[in-house]
Amino acid sequence: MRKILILIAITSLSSFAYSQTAKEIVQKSYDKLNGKSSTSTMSMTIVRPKWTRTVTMKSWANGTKYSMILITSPAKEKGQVFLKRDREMWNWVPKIQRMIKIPPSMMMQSWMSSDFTNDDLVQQTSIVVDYTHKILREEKFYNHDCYVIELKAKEDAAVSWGKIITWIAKGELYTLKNEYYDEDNYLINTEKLENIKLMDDRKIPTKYTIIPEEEEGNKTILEFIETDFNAKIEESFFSQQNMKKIR
Amino acid sequence: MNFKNLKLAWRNILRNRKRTTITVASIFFAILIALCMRSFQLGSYSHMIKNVIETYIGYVQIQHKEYFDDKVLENSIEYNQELIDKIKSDNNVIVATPRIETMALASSGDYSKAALVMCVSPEEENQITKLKDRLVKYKLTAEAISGIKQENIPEDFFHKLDSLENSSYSNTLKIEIDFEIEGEEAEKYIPLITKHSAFKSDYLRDDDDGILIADRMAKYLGIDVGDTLVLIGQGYQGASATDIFPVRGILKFPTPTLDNMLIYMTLNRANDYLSVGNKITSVTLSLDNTSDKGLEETAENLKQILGDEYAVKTWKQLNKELVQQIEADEDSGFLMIYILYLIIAFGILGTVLMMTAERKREFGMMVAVGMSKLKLASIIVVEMIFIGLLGIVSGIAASIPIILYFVSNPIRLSGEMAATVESYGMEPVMPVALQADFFIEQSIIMIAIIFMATLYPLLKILRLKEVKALRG
Repeated sequence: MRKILILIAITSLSSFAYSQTAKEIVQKSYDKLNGKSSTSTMSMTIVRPKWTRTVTMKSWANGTKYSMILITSPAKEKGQVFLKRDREMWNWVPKIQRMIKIPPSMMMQSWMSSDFTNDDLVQQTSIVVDYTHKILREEKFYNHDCYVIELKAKEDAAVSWGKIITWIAKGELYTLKNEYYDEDNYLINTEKLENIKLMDDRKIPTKYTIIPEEEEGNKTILEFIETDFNAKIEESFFSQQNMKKIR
Repeated sequence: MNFKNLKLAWRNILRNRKRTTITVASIFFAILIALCMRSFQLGSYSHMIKNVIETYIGYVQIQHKEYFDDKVLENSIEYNQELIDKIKSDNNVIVATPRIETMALASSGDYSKAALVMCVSPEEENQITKLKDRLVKYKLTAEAISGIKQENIPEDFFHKLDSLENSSYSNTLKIEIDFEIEGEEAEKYIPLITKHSAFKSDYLRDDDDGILIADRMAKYLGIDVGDTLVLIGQGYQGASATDIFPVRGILKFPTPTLDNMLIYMTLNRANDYLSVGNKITSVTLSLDNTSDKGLEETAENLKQILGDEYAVKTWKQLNKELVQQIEADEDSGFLMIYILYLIIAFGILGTVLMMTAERKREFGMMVAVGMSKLKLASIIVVEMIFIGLLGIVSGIAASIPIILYFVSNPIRLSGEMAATVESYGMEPVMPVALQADFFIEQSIIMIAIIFMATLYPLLKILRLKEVKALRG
């Protein structure tokens, strides 16, 4: 009897652990990729049927609320700074010496003519809070055992995707693929995460590829060249004054 | 048919003058109204076309083959002398000027607005669109108005001046219209008005780094000559295009849509702003022979010369909206004319029926004394032709001076009517066109109607029973 009770306890515990993890998995995976505060050097390659273009940049982030991006090349865009505080976004353009607040109406516009929207830069952070999470199945994906998790937007959440399906590797908990659907359940973008490397103190994918479903031959590749997950960056760093000074 | 028959027909016409006059008059008015109506229509079409073509799109544009469907800078063509030489090898081409068209957000202070940025070669552009003539030369600022009020002007000008505050003018003609003055009055007061309202706009030099901006847009953004404007757009292959430009001049366009969105800069400046190198989105042409035939021939020839890499687009393809608008209006115009003709046809038929009934005994008599029915019928036909020609010729003769008068003195709309027309994007005038082919068309239609009306008496004569006819 006692043995049976223990058995039940163990099985129910494990099943409890299983059902409870959907949200946790997403949370942990997210934390792993982003860290508490970090600085990175990245390159973004925009691929179009007739041309490609590479932009390099530096970024600073503190938690999910604050981030700042400085464009370092090409020459024409060098010195442009994007600041994100909560859900607001500003753009400093040194050429015209002006601070431009990106209005809500421009949130769905492409960022730096890539396949990322301004909104992607601002809202990504809410995938833990604004969505409900459910494990759909487990499957093998590129030699990794993965959880396939469905994220559905909560009714009242102001998010840009109706549904996200994400592939998260068991154990290491890095995201390997995301599919972004709109409110009508149409697949809009597919995101692949590859090139798992040791960055600073952890192994994470370093190459993100966004492929829009509708436009053939278009994609955007974001590669992390260097990341420091232990940099301490104060909240006060993310200010409009600092946008003008940062190098 | 011999001369005697003609004489007989003519006498028959003159015999009952009242009847003849009524028939001729109905044909006369039909022709007169149809011609005048149609001339106004044709005039307004060619005016609309000229407005759009000569201020903006040009008669023909050479573009990258994919530009028309996907208007992005990547679908641009390499600009070089060789291309221009090839285009100019067509004798109908007068000017061929390069352009880049792109959209941008124009921003000044707290205001911003979508702008159509035209990057042009200033002198050549002027040859096609007369852009220099659109520079604002007079502006009724508050200061100018108080200055004019000091002058010796009539009382009723004060109210007009106040209502026209902040209006811009690129010539004195529009001032005359707004103040409703002409002739001697204009000669007396226009110098007083222009003295105080003179406004300095500069045109672009070839190496200018500034811009010209349309009047309404400048007013919305609250900028003036000498201020700077920020343009935020997208450059070639994803390059960012954000830059700051000094305003050199203000342009006044009659069509409000254009007046609300156009900005001009030089191609040299655009190369830097858009990172576009030596590429352009179109070569815009002005033609010597602008008729439909000349247009099509030149377009066809250029397609042969330039090959598949380029698209040759006529204004009709570039501005389908305008063509459709004209077609729809044309249909309603034709409907009106057809209704008019229907009424006239029944009018003519009425008089012919009356005539046949009246002359029944006469016809019977003629046949009884030995005239062949065919001969009698042919005389009737000749009579009708005489009447028809009289009506048509007099109708055309009367309409030509009327049309000519309105060609040289187009009706200027004023007040609310003018505002309505302007809001449709057109200049508030009712111009008139004189077109020969249309005169011939209308005459032929009229003759056809008359022939149809003549069928009735013809049948009556051919089936005539002499005895019955004579008894009445």
